[in-house]
Amino acid sequence: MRVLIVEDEERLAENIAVALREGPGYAVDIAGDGETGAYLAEMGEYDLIVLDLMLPKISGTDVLQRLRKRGQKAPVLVLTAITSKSSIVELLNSGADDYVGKPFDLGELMARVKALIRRGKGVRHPLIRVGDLEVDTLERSVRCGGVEVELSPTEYRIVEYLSHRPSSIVSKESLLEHLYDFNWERHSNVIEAHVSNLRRKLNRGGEEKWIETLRGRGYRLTAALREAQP
Amino acid sequence: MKPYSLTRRLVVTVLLVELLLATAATGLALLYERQQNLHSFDLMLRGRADSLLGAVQDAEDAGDNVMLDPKALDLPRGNVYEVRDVSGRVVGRSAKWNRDIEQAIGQQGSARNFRLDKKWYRGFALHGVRQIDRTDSSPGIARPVVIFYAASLKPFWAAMSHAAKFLLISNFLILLFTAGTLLVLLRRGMAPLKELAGAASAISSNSLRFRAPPDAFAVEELAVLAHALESAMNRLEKAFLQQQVFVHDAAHELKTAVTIIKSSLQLLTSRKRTATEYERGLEMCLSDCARLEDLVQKLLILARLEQPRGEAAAPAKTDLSECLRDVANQMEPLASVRGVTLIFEPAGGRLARIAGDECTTLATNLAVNALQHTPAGGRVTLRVGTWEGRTGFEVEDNGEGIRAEDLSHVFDRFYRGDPSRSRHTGGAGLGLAICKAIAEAAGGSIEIVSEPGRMTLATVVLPGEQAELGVHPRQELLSDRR
Repeated sequence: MRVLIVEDEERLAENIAVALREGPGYAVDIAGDGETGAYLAEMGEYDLIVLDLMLPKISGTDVLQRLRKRGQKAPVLVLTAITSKSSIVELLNSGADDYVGKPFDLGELMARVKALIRRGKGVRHPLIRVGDLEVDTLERSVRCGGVEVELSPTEYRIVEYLSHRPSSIVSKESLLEHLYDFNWERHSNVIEAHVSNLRRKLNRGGEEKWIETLRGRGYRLTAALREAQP
Repeated sequence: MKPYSLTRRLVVTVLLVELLLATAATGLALLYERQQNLHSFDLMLRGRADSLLGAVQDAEDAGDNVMLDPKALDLPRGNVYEVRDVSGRVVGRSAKWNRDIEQAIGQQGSARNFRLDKKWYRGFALHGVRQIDRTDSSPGIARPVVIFYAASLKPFWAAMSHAAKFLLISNFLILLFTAGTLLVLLRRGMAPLKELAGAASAISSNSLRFRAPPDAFAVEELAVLAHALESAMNRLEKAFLQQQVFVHDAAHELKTAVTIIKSSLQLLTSRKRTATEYERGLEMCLSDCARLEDLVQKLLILARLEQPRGEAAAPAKTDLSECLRDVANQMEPLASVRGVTLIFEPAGGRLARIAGDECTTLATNLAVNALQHTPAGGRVTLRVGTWEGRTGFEVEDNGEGIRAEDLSHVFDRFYRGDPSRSRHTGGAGLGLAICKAIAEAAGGSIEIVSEPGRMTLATVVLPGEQAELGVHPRQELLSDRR
């Protein structure tokens, strides 16, 4: 998952970024003003945008309206110091998905971020089941047929991302976009190596093919498909 | 003072004046009426006396001994008379007659008033001639008679009181009508005032917007008040809005500062960390706290500067050169860290009416600003002097300058010219706002001119006096690294 933080207060943006990287293990980009924020949001593929309201250059509200006008679908979580009813109503009406009032609780912010990402992808529960594959997004663990599978952070993130969109094909580029922030040197063969490792760990020597490779198109989590065809 | 009603005052005044006029008019009218009534009373008396004379004339007796039969004469009750001939013989008299009446009436032909039986009478004496034995050929013998005739003044008084009653009642009705009309007119006239008051009472801290009702502007006297109220409310609303924006911004800044500290601490406790990580985290929290402290400090300074100052405490006189030398000395370490040359140009005897610590804050803020926005190798100059007869000091730098669109906002609270830069320098955008507040509170002014990429010059002018003139400025190089 990849999150964009639009916040001019450097220390705050940093804290949220570190919390998101350390906690759910998301890739995080930071924009220091509204203009950069709007630009990045339009360019990158973000699973969530954390948006401050009082921003230099373009205000948070304007960024939000601009994004929604251009059809940007990523859920937006607003950080605001004003939690009056009218301003919240205005915020939600102009396209925000949720808000946290400053000073907020970092834990609450994390929970809301995760919930928004889940909802944005049509998943309702933090425990995602695809066939007998269980992805616990809170514990960041994966169980296969009831047995826990030891995964590296990147491998987990790949499974997590795929499990949010089961039975649909996810391209390598898309995986790259959603797993790494701008600070990473990105190569598609890195993904290939991780997927191959992941496949080996999930199969545990068995014959099951959990992750299907569609040549030239991408990957697909196949547990759902197998269930559909007994 | 006891409150009073304008309407009531006006009505009472008008009624009093009218009452006075009415009284005078009634008095005059009654006087005239009395004159008229007396005149007709006298005519009536004369008529009656004449008819009495006629009766004497017509008496049957041809001789001297005429007697009048009172019963035959049809005279109204309450009339008294006596007829005497020339020899003083009484020819006839009414039942109620005495010598006093004759005395009161006298011999003159003009009527007189007198009292009889506790009642007022009016009577006169008529000197007539009785012709005896008159035939067609001879005029007969003339025998003069005197007729004393008097009548009760009761009908006169009745007429007078009638007239008085009429006048009283009509005047009372006029007064009543005036009062009613006045009240209605005044109430109608006062309606715009009431409307204005209604509109004014709708003002609350939630809605300071005030529009005077159009009716108020239609009344010349009220229009002044309505205009005054409107402009006062507009000024108030503007000030209130400014205050709201400030509070709003201050809240945002404070909440953000608290959020940073809170999130830093929560991040630190979110998992087990190494001692080095904790140490670094705590150091960060401390610096975050310092920022919060600085923000609160600045907000308090602003709040204090905004308090209206008492006239009592005359501001102290501060030697600008001394003050700025201290500031320059304090700034020296920062300047050398940033590799900027700090130059101080004093001018002797420039005294300004400003408290020493405020002057220091003012100069320090400007100097720090200049140092922060001047790249290494640059130059910052603190200069004391007199320009166009005005004493003050300047802070000049040859740094990046301020963009024209930002220049008009630099004194706004929480305004950050270039956000990314200001955030790095840790300013909350209050420094220059404080400078302006200090300068203005001292009765001076502050001005900034800038050429982006070349230089920025901040000039502070303060009310003060010049102790001596003609001091040549000399440069003091505090930091000459390059």
